[in-house]
Amino acid sequence: MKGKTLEHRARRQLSQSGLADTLYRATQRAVDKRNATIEDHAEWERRRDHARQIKLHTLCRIDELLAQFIERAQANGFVVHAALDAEEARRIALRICRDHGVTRVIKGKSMVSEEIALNPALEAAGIEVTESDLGELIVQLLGQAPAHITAPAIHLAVEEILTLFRERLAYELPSELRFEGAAIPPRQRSAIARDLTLAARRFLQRRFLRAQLGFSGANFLIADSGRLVLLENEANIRLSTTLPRVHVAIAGFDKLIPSHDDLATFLHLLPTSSTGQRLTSYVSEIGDGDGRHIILLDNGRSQLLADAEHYDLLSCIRCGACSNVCPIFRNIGGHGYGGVYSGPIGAALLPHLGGIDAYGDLPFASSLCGACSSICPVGIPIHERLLEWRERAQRARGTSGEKLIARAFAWLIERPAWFAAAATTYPLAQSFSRLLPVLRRWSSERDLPEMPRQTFLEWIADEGRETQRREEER
Amino acid sequence: MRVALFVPCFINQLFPDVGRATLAVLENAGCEVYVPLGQTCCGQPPFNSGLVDEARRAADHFAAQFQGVDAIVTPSGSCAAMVRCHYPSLPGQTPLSVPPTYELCQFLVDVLNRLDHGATLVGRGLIHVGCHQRNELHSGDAPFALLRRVSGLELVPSLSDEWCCGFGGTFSVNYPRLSVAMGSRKLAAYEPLDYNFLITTDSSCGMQLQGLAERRNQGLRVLHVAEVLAGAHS
Repeated sequence: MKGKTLEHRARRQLSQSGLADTLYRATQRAVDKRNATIEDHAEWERRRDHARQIKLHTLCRIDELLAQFIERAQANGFVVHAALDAEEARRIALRICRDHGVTRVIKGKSMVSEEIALNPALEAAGIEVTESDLGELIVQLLGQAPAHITAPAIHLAVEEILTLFRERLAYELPSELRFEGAAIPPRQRSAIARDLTLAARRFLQRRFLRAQLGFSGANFLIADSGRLVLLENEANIRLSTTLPRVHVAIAGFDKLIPSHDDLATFLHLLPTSSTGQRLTSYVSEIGDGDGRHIILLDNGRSQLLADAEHYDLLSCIRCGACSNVCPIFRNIGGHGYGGVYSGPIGAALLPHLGGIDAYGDLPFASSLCGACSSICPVGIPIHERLLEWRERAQRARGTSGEKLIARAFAWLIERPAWFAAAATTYPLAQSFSRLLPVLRRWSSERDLPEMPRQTFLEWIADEGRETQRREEER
Repeated sequence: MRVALFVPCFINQLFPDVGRATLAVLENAGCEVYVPLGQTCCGQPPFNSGLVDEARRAADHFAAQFQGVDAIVTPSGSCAAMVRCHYPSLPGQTPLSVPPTYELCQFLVDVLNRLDHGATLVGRGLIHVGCHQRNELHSGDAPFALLRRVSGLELVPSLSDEWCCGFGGTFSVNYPRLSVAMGSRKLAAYEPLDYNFLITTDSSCGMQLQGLAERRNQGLRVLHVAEVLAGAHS
């Protein structure tokens, strides 16, 4: 995405008419459904804590569990590859395509494939790539990146998808669904959305039938059974992993869980958090390798694992709930973050995976409301990670105006009389608010409160309350 | 019970009535209240900017001011969360020793277990519980437990009740566009509702929402929960 800083991208995103309306509507609907699905809050908290324990336990024993997974997966007939970075993962994927003479690929939804920029690499090699998840297909046709971890087309209104399908899929509205004007009448919305979905299905059916290779991600890699588990609602992953003669799954090693017994917890937490479903429509557990390929990706994960403060970011199960509840995300959408991952978890992860130079400002663009930490189904205190990023960023910076101001502020904090005296400049500052950047940025769209005649502590001093207490102590 | 009243710096400066109301509520509830005159700021502004050494200096000053009491009570969920949740993580040679610190509603409900304060406020009120009260103190229900017992008060639920107001301290001036966008969404959700005032647990959230509303000439009367609870006996 163009725009160097989040500030620039946010400005652009905020100026897109209707974007925030669409995002607020869609994310609030997801959060409401999630909340309605969780009936027993104490039980939810227990499962959440259990999930966190499983994930942290896995990360602490990753070498052992990874070795076990590889051994068992190979015994199951999978061909297992390890890729240290995106470049190596792409090379492996391309080699598999070449070995099998593949020219047409169908893909199930996979954020890791976005992370390694798989599609451009395949296309550059002359391979036709089709995203088979409805939302992914829509953003692919638009030439965009996914705008949300689990709901790639969340930023689009049905009208925009209608226009896109007319242009790209030669779609025509059936006569009974035609309407006047630019906006779809509310009563026809769901019927039109349904018809558009059927149109996508017809298009995808042809692509499925001619694909020679299917790519997928994985939601879970089970160490003790060497199996892959995939969750979805559209059956496109089931088709992508069974119909073409070759299947390649690509996953970060953070998708490992120790045992099949641990799966149930996540099968509950993930869909509830994501869409408010008790269970996704399709859960695929693939145990018969049959020559399928698994590419295990590192791409910065080992380095993050060694980060004692932040390694729990690897326990993310990519449910997207933190984005749904995030007021920043709701205003700027996934494209505002400028990276593959978005929302609060993206703001915490991207500086690790993509570097602090490119993404160092993301952790600062947060009101630190903490809604992400409260909703996270694996209990990652996401907003605390953002706070730690701020601390790291400040430590890495030299002397700055902000630091000098903070130092002066700390000096005042330690000297109550000076602190009070400094505060009396407020009315003066207020009348010069256009000259002071801080007040100007507040005042551009907000009024400032008036200064009362007496502060609370002045009133207390007048009343003699504090001295009374001190004397009692003596 | 001996409690120290911690009045956050901007409440001291801009909303002294909130301090007086908090004092009244605590004394009415039978607490012996001490107000250290040397108190200044908890250090949240530098902390949120990642300047933890400066925040630690503020924390040391805070700890020195608030000794010898059973509890510290403050009419701000955000400043209470700073002390309760973030002081322990601050760098420093010696451990910080601070008496247990509570936001006012949290203290009244969890410590005193006193829900009815004999307050009266006639009208329909929107409630905005600050995010740190909910997500850091995990005490989002306490204000409701108290406000449900205020006679004459009808609570008006809004779709946006759990949305952040967009203040976020330094965030409000570092990212003014985002901050304003967030607050505007909240106000827009209030528009179709029939209400007389907005009751909030944090004056900073109140300042953000009121500042936005005033600029747009959208009437919004903001009350702090302490002012509501002090209502009948001041």
